[in-house]
Amino acid sequence: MRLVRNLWIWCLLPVCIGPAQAQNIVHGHVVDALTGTAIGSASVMVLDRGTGTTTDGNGHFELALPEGEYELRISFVGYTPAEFTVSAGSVSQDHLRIPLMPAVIAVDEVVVQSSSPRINDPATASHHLKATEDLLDRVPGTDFVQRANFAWEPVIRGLSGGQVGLVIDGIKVVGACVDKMDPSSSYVEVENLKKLELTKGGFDLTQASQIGGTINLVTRKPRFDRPLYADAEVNYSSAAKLRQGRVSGGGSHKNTSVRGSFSYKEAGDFSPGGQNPIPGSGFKKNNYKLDLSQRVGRQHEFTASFLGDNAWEVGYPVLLMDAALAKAKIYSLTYVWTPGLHWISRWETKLYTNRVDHWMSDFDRNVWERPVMRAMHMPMFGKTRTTGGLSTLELAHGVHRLKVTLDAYQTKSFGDMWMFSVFENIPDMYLLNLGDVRVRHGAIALDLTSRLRPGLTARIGVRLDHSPRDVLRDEAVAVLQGRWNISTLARSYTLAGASFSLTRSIGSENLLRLSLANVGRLPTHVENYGHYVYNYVDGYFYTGNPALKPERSTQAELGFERWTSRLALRASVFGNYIQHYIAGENDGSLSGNMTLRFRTYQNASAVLLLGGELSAVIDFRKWFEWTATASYTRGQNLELDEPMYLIPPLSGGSSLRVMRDRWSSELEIRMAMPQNRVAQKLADEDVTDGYFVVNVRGRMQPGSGAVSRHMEISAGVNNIFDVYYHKHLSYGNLPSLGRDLYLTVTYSL
Amino acid sequence: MIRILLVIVCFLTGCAPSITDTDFFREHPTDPEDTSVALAVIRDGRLSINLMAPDSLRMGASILWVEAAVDGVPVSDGDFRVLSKWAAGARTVSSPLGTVKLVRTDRPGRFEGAPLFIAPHGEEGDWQLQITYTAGGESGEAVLPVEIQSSIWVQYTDGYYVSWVRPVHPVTGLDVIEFALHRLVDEQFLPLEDARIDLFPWMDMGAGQGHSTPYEAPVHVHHGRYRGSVNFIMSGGWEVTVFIQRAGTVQDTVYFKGFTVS
Repeated sequence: MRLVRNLWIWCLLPVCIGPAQAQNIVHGHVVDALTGTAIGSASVMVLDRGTGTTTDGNGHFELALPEGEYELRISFVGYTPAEFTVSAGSVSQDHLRIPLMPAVIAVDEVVVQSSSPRINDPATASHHLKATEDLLDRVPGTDFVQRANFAWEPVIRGLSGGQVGLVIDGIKVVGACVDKMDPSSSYVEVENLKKLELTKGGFDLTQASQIGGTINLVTRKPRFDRPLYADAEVNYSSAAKLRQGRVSGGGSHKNTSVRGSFSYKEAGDFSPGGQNPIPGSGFKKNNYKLDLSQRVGRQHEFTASFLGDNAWEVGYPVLLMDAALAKAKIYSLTYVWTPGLHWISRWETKLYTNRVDHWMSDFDRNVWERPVMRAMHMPMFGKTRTTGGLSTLELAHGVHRLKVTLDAYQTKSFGDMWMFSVFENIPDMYLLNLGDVRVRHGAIALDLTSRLRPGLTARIGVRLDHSPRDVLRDEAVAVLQGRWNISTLARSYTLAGASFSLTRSIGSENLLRLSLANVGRLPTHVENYGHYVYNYVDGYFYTGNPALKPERSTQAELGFERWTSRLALRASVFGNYIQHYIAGENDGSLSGNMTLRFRTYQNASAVLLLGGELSAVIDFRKWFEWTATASYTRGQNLELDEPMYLIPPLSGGSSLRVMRDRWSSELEIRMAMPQNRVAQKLADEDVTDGYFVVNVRGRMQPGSGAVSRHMEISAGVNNIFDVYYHKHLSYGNLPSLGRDLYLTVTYSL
Repeated sequence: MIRILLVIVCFLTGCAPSITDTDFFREHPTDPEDTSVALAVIRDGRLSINLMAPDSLRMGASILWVEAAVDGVPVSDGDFRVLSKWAAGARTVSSPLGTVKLVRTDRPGRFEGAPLFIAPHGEEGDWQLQITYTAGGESGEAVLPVEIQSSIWVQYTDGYYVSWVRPVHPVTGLDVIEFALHRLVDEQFLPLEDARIDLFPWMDMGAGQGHSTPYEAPVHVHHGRYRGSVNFIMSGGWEVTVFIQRAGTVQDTVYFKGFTVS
């Protein structure tokens, strides 16, 4: 009998051992990086699995995971989220120590997971992503200049263009189109976007010296936690007859990992609310990326990356021309050293080069009817070549953390334009918009974070930039020297900036933040050396001014956050006073008829921006939540005593979300008030009506079968009531999409 | 592995249509056709002088080349001067700018200058070019008949002549612009030195569109020559209107219309 009982136990043993081998416990301890104190209630997410847990009151957590490597994302109010790769099973992970750095400035960080985006802002919608712009569009205080149904240009708190630093993995990519049709945000498709880091204002000086804000598009890299993985997605959206497909995948073996992706999308003419499709508003685009990572030991990692993007037949119905072809190729080599020393946390060095080419054409347009540049075709070409290096060293000493950034790059820009009149007696015309403009840029930035005392953390940032620049092509030199009556166009800028932030925790649920900055931004190469560049905002042709001073900004922000088990709230107010504001001034040396008007860039004005953002989420149940956002910016040109142009009106949105294990749904409204504060002296801007749009969407995992458990289906209707509207920042009052039904099927391995 | 690499290569190279400059734009800068003309050859001992012009000679300032060689070896030092003359029967009128000294160019043995060809208004005649040279141990003088095309570069108004002296070939960028004002008295051009000149450069872009460009109005420098500047901001067809105000007279206006800035 004992033998039988023992046999029975021996038979059962494998059954018991089986689950124990499959599920390994990962232990972790989340602490404040400066003080070492435990962080309780921190969120621990297992990326790409949708599971997670929270730390206990002593900062400890446990996760049961099958054997393998996993990426964990740990976040908590007032701290910069961190990501760690952990091994479950083979190596003991007992008491894995995870330090979180206090987040002393507000960074909106949107993390893209396989199925939905997550953002540290409480009220950002979880929605279907067609493009990277869809992510940015939900961040309060962020808007877009829309020139087409393609490649929108980000605007942060009413500032855009050269006032906003937009980088890809820290890499500078300078657009080749003088009309800004190719913002570099369009080069990163959703399947390649890991997360998006957005800082409003000039408080983060590590990315760039900017007065409006910085956006860093962090791309996906090869992962070592899975030997093989792949995703595929197909999507159809009705308003623009958008068809798109994406594949991405990779694999790893020991210390080598590779990842690649490809996507293609094609859109037809899009239909605004209640209207027929707008002719010439479609586009075609593909995007591909390849990364190869090699680890050397546990401390060294090298990654070679290539990103390519092509867009063609891009219709810009409200502009004079369409983009015939836009090409970007971005190469980089990154080395990361994580020595494990207590005083050197990390050292990352990146070398990069990229090339952007942009062709514009109006050969398919009826050039007789347009008011500007009538009866002529004017193909344009632009290209930029940028090469640079970026090195960031992170040092630690006690309750202090110092980040040292060295940033250097060189950009050469060229742009030209032919004008072929339809009249035979008018000779061909040709001009250089940018005659081989060379901008060299070097900068050093120091960023020190210190815990002054429990609950009080300070951050000081300083940055010094130096940028010599010149025009190399004789023909362009002659024109600009003649215009400004100067012997040399060479110019060298040196610019210093500083920011200071203080964060005060009030209890465990509230956070108060004060940020101050005195920063500048250098003129763009177009503002310095552009020639005959058409500005669609005011309808003038612009000539660059080599003698421009940098814009100088003094700004302050006061922020408040409250996070409880049911409520998350973020609010901030800001003020931004900008001196030497770069704007257009009528050019008295050039005259034309009514449609050909000329301006030069001048430091003519001072402006004041005031505003704020508010976002909140309330969890009624674990599976049911309500979110809301609102943002407002008021811009005043103090010299002209009129509103600034391209300032978005009071706008916001609200969502009701239901989230169950295998399905979720959302009802969303998005709205904007009318914008009656418009610039009429500087830009002849017109007022814009408000709008109210309702969207509904849902997603589901169809089953748990061998195939269906890898599948996800998303569907929804944007702008259900087919409302006709345009946003204030749309050029030529280009309307937004009307009712848009979409269906997406995703398959992940 | 090779298949994978091939797929990757195809993937990276063949993903988008290509546009070349030649099928999208007309080439720039266009390679100019060789329009040079040979005017005459002078041989003096071992010295040979080829008199040439990049284009047909025309009324107004017109570029002239001298290519000199001794036994086929280009001359590096030499003195070449030309004087343009108009003649009808026994009547001869020389250029109001006098003899022009040709200057050495970057091309070995080539010297260049721009004599002014100007004829009495409304009269028919022949053209001569008087060349005086000292080079390769030889010196001499020759008078050669030449053909001169009519052009826009000399305008006649209110009894006097307005000649566009330079730039002979306007180019994009800041050009020094120079006019000469002369009155013909008997067989001699006399300078008009008391005028005030203003300009209006204009590009006609068709369909009622066009624009000006920055300029400095010419002022008198010497012997009826007025010098200013125009910054042609793009290549294409331009016209320059010249307003001339002389003491005690009504303002005169002449047009230099239909030239191309390269």
